[in-house]
Amino acid sequence: MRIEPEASTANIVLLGSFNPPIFRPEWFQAMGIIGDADAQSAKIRIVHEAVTAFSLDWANIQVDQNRFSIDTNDPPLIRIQDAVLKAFKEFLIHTPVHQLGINRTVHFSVGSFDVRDKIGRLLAPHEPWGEWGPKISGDPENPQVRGGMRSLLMSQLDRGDGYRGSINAKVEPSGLRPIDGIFVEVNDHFFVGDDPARIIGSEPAMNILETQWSKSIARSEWIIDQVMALREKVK
Amino acid sequence: MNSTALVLSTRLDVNASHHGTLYQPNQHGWSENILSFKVADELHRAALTRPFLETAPSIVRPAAATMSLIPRHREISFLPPEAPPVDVGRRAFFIGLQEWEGVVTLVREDGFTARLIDLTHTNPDEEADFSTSEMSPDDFDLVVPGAIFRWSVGVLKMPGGAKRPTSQVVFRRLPQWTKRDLDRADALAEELVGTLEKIQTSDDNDTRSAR
Repeated sequence: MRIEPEASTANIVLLGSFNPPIFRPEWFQAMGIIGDADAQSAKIRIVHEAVTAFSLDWANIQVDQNRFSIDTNDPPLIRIQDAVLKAFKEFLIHTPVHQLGINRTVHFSVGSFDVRDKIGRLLAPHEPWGEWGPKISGDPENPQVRGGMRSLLMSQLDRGDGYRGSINAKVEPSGLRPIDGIFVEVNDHFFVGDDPARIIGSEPAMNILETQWSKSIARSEWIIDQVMALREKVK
Repeated sequence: MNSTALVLSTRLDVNASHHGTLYQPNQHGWSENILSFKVADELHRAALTRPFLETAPSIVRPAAATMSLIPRHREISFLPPEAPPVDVGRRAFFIGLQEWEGVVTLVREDGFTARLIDLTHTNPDEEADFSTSEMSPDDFDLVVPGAIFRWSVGVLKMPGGAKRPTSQVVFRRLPQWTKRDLDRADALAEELVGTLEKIQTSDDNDTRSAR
């Protein structure tokens, strides 16, 4: 990526049928998915029969009955792939997983409010909004009342790699850098098999995760880089 | 008929659309709706097992807009447990600038030697020595010849904007190979042998015809 991010996250989401209470730090420790010190320093946020959520130094894990999610901010990002593969390929092989998402998010600075404003106008011009268009902008000198693009989601529905699913990219002003920051999230979504009802285990989803992780992360960073390139375009 | 109404309330906003989307977490941290539909559903069912009767004019039921704002039923005494959101704005971020995959070749008492593959650039493989002081104690047991790890070099960006160079060695906790993995590897090896044999046969034929 051509701009050094301010913050960066990778996230894996599985949709299927899960049993939240088992996903405790002690279970991950006992299975060798995380180390002893990791488990002991885990911050439990909630443990309930319907949802479990806890944080490690390097990851956040949240599980409810239909959804498993793990994210990390710190490299190596592949640690979350290893954790998911070890959990669901080695131990929870009979857990049905019918959808998989590999998500990559980045906050980066474009240097000034003006440049970010121009990028917003390039991605979502005001002119097509007709007579409302000129009113959207507000005061160009005052970021507090400067209107414009708040969120833009683009979807590629033909993945082009033989898998069913979509590649979705969202661009927003960054909450971390309110003046000059941009937030980009790329969601790489896979449907596992043709019929969720016929999925009886996690193996098909894990095969996708194992073979597609590196490609997915590289493609997401390439898409993020396309947005970063707009900084030069609007100058 | 007596105007007795069964009034049940869970005070939960059930957002069914939460499911079916893979956006998680949002850019400000964990989803605000950490108590998803299933939790709301669970609590709702719990509430149903302990119903309570209150007297309330039945006429208010079909006309929600004109209902009295004065509570006419007992509030459910337990509120759903809430997980505090992860505040991403106040923490330091480790931004990786370069990453290597390493394979341990030699283990020493105070560290190890490894062959490094550059994952960021196309540099040739290198060999480097690492000290155990660079590792997490959790990883000590994983250091054996052949073990795979990642070495990330980057900057730690502090919430105030300061930057500190940093690096991290993390040993990978990979899943055990399954029978299917081994079968797949065998099939791939056989395919490679077949390809090599074809090349060999074709070379032999070419040599014969040249004579």
